[in-house]
Amino acid sequence: MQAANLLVGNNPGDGALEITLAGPRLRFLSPGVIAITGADLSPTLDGEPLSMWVNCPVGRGSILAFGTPRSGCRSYLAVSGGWAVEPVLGSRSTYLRGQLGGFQGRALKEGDQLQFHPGKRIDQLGTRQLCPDAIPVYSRQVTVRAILGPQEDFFAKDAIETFFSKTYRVSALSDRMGYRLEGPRLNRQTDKEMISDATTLGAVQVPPDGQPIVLMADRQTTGGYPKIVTVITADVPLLAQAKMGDTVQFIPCDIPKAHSILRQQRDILRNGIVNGACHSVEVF
Amino acid sequence: MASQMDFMNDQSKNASLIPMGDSCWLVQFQQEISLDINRKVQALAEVLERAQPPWVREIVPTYCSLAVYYDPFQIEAYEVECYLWAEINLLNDAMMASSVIWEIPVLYGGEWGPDLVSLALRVGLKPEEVIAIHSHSTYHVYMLGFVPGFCYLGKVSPKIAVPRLDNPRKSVPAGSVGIAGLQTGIYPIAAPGGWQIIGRTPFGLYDPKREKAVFVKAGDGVRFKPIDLATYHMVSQKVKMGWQPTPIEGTKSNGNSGGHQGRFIDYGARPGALWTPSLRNARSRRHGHLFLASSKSSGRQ
Repeated sequence: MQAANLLVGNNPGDGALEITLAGPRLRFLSPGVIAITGADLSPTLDGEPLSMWVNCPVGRGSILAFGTPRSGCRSYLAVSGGWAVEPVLGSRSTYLRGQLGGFQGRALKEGDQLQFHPGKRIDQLGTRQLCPDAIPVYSRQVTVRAILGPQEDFFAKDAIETFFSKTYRVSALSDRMGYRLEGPRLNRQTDKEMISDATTLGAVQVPPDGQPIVLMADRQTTGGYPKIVTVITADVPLLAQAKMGDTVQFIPCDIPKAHSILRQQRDILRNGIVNGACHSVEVF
Repeated sequence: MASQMDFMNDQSKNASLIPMGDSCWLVQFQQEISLDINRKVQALAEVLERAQPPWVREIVPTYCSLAVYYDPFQIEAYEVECYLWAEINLLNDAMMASSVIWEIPVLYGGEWGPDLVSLALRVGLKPEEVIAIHSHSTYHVYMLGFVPGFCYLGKVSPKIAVPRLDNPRKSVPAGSVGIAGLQTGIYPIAAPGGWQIIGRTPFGLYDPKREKAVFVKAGDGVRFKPIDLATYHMVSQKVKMGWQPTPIEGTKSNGNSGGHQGRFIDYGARPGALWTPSLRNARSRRHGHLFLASSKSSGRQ
């Protein structure tokens, strides 16, 4: 999402349309410059395949459509100038359960008209793209790094070993609130009930059935299930691109390493956006 | 000097700092639901709210923990850890979170409180007695969570404490007032839930369009005032027109009855009254202690 905004000259935190698996058809009622990043949902502009991770001018009446998902789960569409949605409680995100934020607090539907602020023209921006080696690869076997805790002491020792050595499968009951995973049962070593406390993005909570749930962007703020690990901030977007049936493998990480990965990610975003074509050759 | 060290040791002994991922420290006090421990959580939250360190993204106080979310681009994890330890060790009564008391009007029973009759039967009381007991105490807001603006209030008199429903409802209407064990709470928006619903308030506890979407905060006091249908409709109408509740001031609670001896909100007198931020004064703190005394004397445990 941040990359999409940077490609069209916006602030990285501006709003972008999140498009999950089945994309909409959009007709532009005025010209603009767009960029699509994230999942490859076979975008087309007026019937022609549209390159991702690069900005592109669209004319009045142009039709943007999406087709078969090729990789990942969620695509991000940014438009130069930014989508005209007012921040609610400091965010332009849509919170469906609270019918809050974004476009009338709901998903877009046929017939909606979405405004965007006047932005820069393509001749002002120039062609911008993210260097190919900076583009994330979304695999159907996702590997994410995680920090132990905060409630790892609720679990049997072998549960922690199991968690880090086996793979889990993304269940159909997964959404922006949480990713339910299926796999080897994680046993607790105590029957004591946890007193509800705060949750965080990427926390992996385990209900009594022993099947982990990774808490995602629309998670509840507090919860009463113990959290065995917390996925590092830098790897949450990778997991958010996983879809039903994909496998997830967790690898232990520590805080200093997580922070250095996060900084690397920021540097890629800072330096990875270049004008024109990347200078590279393909060996074949 | 020795006593100061004792105090520090005392605080350190009862708290621990645990990382929750790479951008949050979880301060855990003794893991039990008690007013004293919750007040420590509130006090630490108050300290951070007053200091507003630029690296703090958000703090979430709960029953006996405080989550402190920080910006890892601005500060190292160990620096946050040191800062928090210093503040934990320096916590004292003077820093206890200031609080105000809110009076929430509730229409009990009927379609607004579908579980009132069965709850009364279960505990062997008349519905009116359940209402009297429920609206008798001033409750402490232990935490906010679950959905925007949901406040966890306690503790409910054991006389009317009932467990959650076996089968949670798919949707509980906004404003519903429920009981779950020794907790009582208000559903700010329609949400699935298993609390036993005894009434409904016309107050909009959560409104994203308002300057303060949620006006009740953790550490505040909440009382319930039984109202009739006519009042319900009147307040409901006022809320729709943008009326916002103000905390009650000058409330008195004399420890043995805990009854409503203070002023009630005058629903008619303040159309469009501005919501007033918390009363950060000694008086409200004192009331905090008074209400502590009254909840202790209400026959609990």
